[in-house]
Amino acid sequence: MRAVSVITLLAGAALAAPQGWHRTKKEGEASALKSGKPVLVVTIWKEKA
Amino acid sequence: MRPHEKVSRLLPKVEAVEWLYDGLGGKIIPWTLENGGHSKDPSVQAFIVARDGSVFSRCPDGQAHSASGLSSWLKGEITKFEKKYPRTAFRFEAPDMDLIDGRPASESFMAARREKKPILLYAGRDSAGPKDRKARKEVKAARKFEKGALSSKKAAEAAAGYVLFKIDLADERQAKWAKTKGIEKAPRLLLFLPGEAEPVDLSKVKGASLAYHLKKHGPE
Repeated sequence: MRAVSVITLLAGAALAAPQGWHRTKKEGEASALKSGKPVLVVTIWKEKA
Repeated sequence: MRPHEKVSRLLPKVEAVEWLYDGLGGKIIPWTLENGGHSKDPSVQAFIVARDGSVFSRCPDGQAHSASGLSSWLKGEITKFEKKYPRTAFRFEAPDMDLIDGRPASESFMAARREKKPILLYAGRDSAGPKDRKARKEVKAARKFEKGALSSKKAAEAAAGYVLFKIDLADERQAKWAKTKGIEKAPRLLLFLPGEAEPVDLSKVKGASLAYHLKKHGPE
């Protein structure tokens, strides 16, 4: 439950990937190569709908 | 400001990844354990990762489970990361930004002006909404400018003695403040010289030429 509340705070979505977030670490790293920004990786467990 | 808003405000400064656990036998749990995690369960964990995939830091467990803990950790780690992996050859700092009588003001900028120090102000744009085409174009142009003129080591060396400020026009308060300096869009590079009311616009100058201009106007 605690994790779910944090996910909601962070993402504002229960099941779908939040808008603007990458779905994989690899995707985030590829974007970071272009943008120069650090990659924030949040590992989360979500029940399938 | 509410804690989760503090987290949201920081998200444009990172490439955020929501990495869903791929089961107890998947690859994510071993990865978290290799990088400072302690749990064999799929718990919420947060990491800052460099573009080469190496882990820069991991959010302590106690902080990762609350928005206020996460935002304070994230803010500190972004600062540390940007110092270690600067996006430009210049070591820009973000000027402080306060609201005075409802208007944005920067005491560090004003102090540098009072102390008659030359200031190089770079206005970039780090992010844009998915539907904001104009802002997205600015993000692209800013990145190109950073990779070009602002990656020149010669130019950065020539900026010794300057006060170097960078603002992000994606930040509402900074964008408001930028307007008071005549900056409407990114990228802009302005040189504020002591005693001169109007800045010198170096936005169109290339790397080698930028070094020349900075030497020409810079402190002896």
